[in-house]
Formats: sequence, C-alpha cells, structure tokens
Amino acid sequence: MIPHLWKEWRDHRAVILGIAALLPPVLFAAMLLIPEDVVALPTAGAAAGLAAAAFALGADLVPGEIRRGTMLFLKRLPSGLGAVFAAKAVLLVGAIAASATLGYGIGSLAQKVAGRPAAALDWTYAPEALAVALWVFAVAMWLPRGELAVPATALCLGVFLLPMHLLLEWNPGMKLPAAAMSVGRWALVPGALLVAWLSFRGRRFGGPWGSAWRGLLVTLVLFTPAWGYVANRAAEWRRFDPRDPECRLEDGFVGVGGRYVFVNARCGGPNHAILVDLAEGSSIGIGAPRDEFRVPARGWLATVPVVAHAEESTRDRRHVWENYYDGATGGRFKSGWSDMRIDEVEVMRRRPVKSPPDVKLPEGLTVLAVLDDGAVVAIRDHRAIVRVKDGQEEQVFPR
Amino acid sequence: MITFEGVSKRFGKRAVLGGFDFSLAPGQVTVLLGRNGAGKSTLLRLCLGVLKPEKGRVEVCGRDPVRHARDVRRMVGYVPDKPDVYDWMTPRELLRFLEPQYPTWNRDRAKRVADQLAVPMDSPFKALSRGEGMKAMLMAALAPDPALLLLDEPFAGLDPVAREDVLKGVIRAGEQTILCATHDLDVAARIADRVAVLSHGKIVAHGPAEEVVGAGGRAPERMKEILEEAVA
Repeated sequence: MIPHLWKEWRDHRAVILGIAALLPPVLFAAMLLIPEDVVALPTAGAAAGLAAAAFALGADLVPGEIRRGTMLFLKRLPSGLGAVFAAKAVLLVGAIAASATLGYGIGSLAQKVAGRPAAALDWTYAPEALAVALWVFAVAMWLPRGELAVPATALCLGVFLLPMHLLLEWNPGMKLPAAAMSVGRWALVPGALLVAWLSFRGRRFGGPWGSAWRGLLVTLVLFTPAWGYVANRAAEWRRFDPRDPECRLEDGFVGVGGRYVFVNARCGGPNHAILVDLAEGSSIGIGAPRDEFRVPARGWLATVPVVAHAEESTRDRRHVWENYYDGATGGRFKSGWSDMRIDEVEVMRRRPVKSPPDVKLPEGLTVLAVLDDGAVVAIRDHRAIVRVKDGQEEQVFPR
Repeated sequence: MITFEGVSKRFGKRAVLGGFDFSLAPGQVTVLLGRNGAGKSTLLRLCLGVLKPEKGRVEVCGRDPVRHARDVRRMVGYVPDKPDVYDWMTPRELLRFLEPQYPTWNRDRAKRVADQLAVPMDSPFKALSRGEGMKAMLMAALAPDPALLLLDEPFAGLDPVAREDVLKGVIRAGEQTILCATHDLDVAARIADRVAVLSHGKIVAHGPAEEVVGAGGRAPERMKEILEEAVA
C-alpha cells in the first residue's frame, strides 16, 4: 500500500498544499466577520477545514482518475483495487484530520485576536461531519464529474434519512435512546467507507452506473435496520394494549350517562388518551401519543376535553390546542386553541355523573364516578375498569 | 498460454465478441489483426481481467484472469495504445511504483531496456513525446520478466523513427510470448510468427504467418487482402 499512498500524495499534493495555503487567510478573515454569539470560532474553523478537504479532495479522488484516463492503469495493477482504495481513503482521512486541525488552530487564533472568551471545541456533530465528508467520497464514485458530488450527497443522504425524519415528525415527543442515537451516528462513518469501497469495486468492470447501483444497494441495506429500528420505536411509542402488563390506567373521567370513560393510560412511554365504551368493553385511541384527557378549565365536568400536545406561544401566553368531546356520545364536537370561545353551552352544561362517593370500597380501587343506578365505576389496580354494585365487582374493561 | 472458449462480450446492446474461441501457444509472437472496433482491445482486456466475459471461459497462463487477477497480472505485461499513467510521473517513478507489486521484478532488465530504448528516465510523461512515452511503457511492461506480453496497438500514432525504436524493443523481447493487437500491417509482417484475424467478434483466420498470408507471404499487401476478405 505504501507505493499507492505515495502515488496518492504525489497526485493530490497540490490540492492539499493549496488548502493549507489558502485556508488560513480566508478563514481568518471570514471569522472576524462572524458575530460573537453565533458560533465558537475554533469549532467553526475545524468544520470549515473538514469541509474544505472533503469537497476539494474527497469529491475528486475517483472522478479525477476517470477524467484523466488513469483508471485502466490502476485496474491492471497486480495489487488490485483494494490497495488503491485503501490509499485513497487513508489520504482523505489524513487530509481531513490535518485540515480540520488547521481550521481549529485558525479559529482559536481568531478567537484570541478578536478578544472573545475562550471556547472549547464542540464535538457534538463530529460523527455527522466526518460521515458527510466520507459520503461525498463515496457518492463521487457514482458520478461522471466530481463537482456534482456535494449536491448528490445531499440528495442521497436526504432521501435515505427522510423516513427517519418523517417517523420522528409524525411521533412528536418520541425520543430515541441516547445510546442508539450514538451508535447510529457513528455507524454512518464506517457505513460511508463500506459504501465507498463497494462502489469503487463496482468500477472494476463497470462505469458510473455499475458503481452507483452497488453503492445505492449497500446504502439501502445499511439504512434499512435504522428505519426498522425507528419504525419499531414509533410503533412502541403509539402502542396501547390494556392487557399488556406494562400498561397502566392512570385516571379517567366518566361521561354523562356513564357509558363512556375517558381514560389516561401509559405503557412505559407517553400518555395515551383512550375512549372506553363500557357497554361494549371496547376502546379506541384518541389523538396522538402524549395527548391526555383533562377536566375543562372552565369547570364543566360533563364534557371532557382532549388536550393535544400542539402548542402555540404568543408574546403574553401559551395556547394549547384542545379537542372537546361530548361525554354522552364520546364524539368530538369542538376543536380550537385554548382561548377559543365556547358556544355549545347546552352540551357543556349537561348534568355530570355524580362525583366520587363517600362509600367504603375494597382496596385497590380508584373510584371514578357513581352512576344513576348507584353503581360505582372504578379503576382496579391500574389494570382494569370495574363496575361495583351491591358489593359485586364486575370487570367491564378490558373484557 | 491463452485460451478463449465460447467467449461473448457485449457493451450495452453492441456485441463485441460473440462465441469467441481462440488459443495461443507459448513462445511465439502472434499478431492480432483487425480493423478499428473489431474487438482487439476487448480481447486483451479480457486477458488482463479488467473486463469480464458474459459467457465462456478465459484462461491466461493457466488461470482465470477474473478470479485470479493478481496472479495473472503478475505474469502478464501490458502496453496500451498510449501512455495512460499520470502525467506528472517520470519513468523512474513509474518503475519505483510498480516494482513492489511484482515478485519477479528485474531491475537489470528494466535498466537494460531503458538504455536500449533511450528512455528519458527523469522527465515527466507530460514532457515526453508519444514515442518516448510508449518506450517507457514498454520498459515498464518488460521489467517484471512477464511470461506473456500484451501489446494493444503500441505503434499507432508513432512517427517512423519512434515506431522503429518501439518495434526493436519488442523484437528484442522476443523470448516471451507476445500477443500484439494492431492494424498496422507492416509491423505485423515484421514481427509475426502467427497471425490471427479478428472480424465482427470472431477469429476468421489463425495460423502461422506463412500459412495465413500464403506462400512467400509476410508482405503487408497480402495481409491487407486477408483483412479485407475477412471484413467482406
């Protein structure tokens, strides 16, 4: 590999030395123009150095060979394409490290010269930055020209990250475990190298298409477990099964007539707003995870609102999106921000069921209401809704 | 030394070689004649394992060049139709780059060929004439003492003096088995022990030069006739 490494250095030293010569003055001048509170200069310098090496060098390592017609020479060497690729990857990673270090040094100097307080290097997005740099190297192999590598990388990563973004968007509040996030972010780095290697191998007998379909196929294989994992987490996040031992019925509100109970439940994750039909013993989820039933602020117990998580802040107060449900029918009759005008006074003023009674009941029961026939509706041990009448306890949900 | 059995190769919809059979015995110079686009370069690249046949079997020095690419490439020297190395590289740097990759590398031979062909060792390829570049490529191909030398139109575009120099270099390397693709009939007449004529993806004539070109043959005119007959 040493001869190949020498060849790569010799082939690209003008670009590397050019970065080393141009980066300090350009970056230094640019940094003095950055407002103090926008970003820490050493981190910005390191990021700029990394980007310069990735885009100027990474995007041209393989397209450059094709442009100059030297690919056949490399293909027919006894050392094989493995040594060629390894030398290119080592040169790129080395150049990125050197360029980022140089950028960091320039940023630190600019920080001092500008008299700004010292700031440590922020490593938060280091894996993503390194991964993008290596993806540029990989995606460049699919293209006839290196100049297209940056937009093509953005497009490729955008497409493959979109499902995860949408899953998170559709499940607000869902958070992935920090360990899983960390593994996923760092996995992008070797993933990019693997895609780059297989794309490069695709050049052995083929052109850009041979390289692209292999690269895209491997990218698909790499991203599929991540999509599956996030989709599974989202399914877990949305899941409510009253028979699951992890699920707990936290509290509930009994509507007019005693048929519907508006229950807040948790299955180890967010709150679920569940509408339970006591007559059928069935339930349906209302809204999205994190929604919860609350007693209306205006004190009308007969009608129970679902308060969604969606929020809108104005200068003087925070508004909450609310859905109002009719306790008698279980149907929604009004939605709006929490400062909306309530015109449905008749519905809101229906007589509620009696408040929890002052009666002695068996242990483990959380009383929700006393119905007109004297039966008590209660939650048994956070597991089930029961009806208690004349000392007889009957489980009505789940059946 | 080289065996092609039922080899087919196409580029997109264009079939370059169709059900191709060919074999080459060791120790002889075989000239592969054919017009532009006849498939001569494809055949040589199949021998190197840089192209893969769609159908059929290729064997070079007893090995499959795709599956045993490293072994085959160590035994085969290749000279392209024009220098395809880095323009900043000098012939000396090219030798230094290639040497660790060939266990059979012969420094003395490299030096001898360089002296014989008067290769400018310290000028970058971009500063060399086409002829000087080709001499350097021939030197690099001969340095590992290859068992088989593949020449892909190495005389194309050379001026007469340079062509003569490269030709002498090839003739001096005559102890190896050589497969030389060319459409230069004069060159073919001078170096060929055997002639194979490639037309429309098939070998239409193959045998000792005297047999193929006829009694008293080796004249370029006769070869031209053969080629024209084959194409017709």
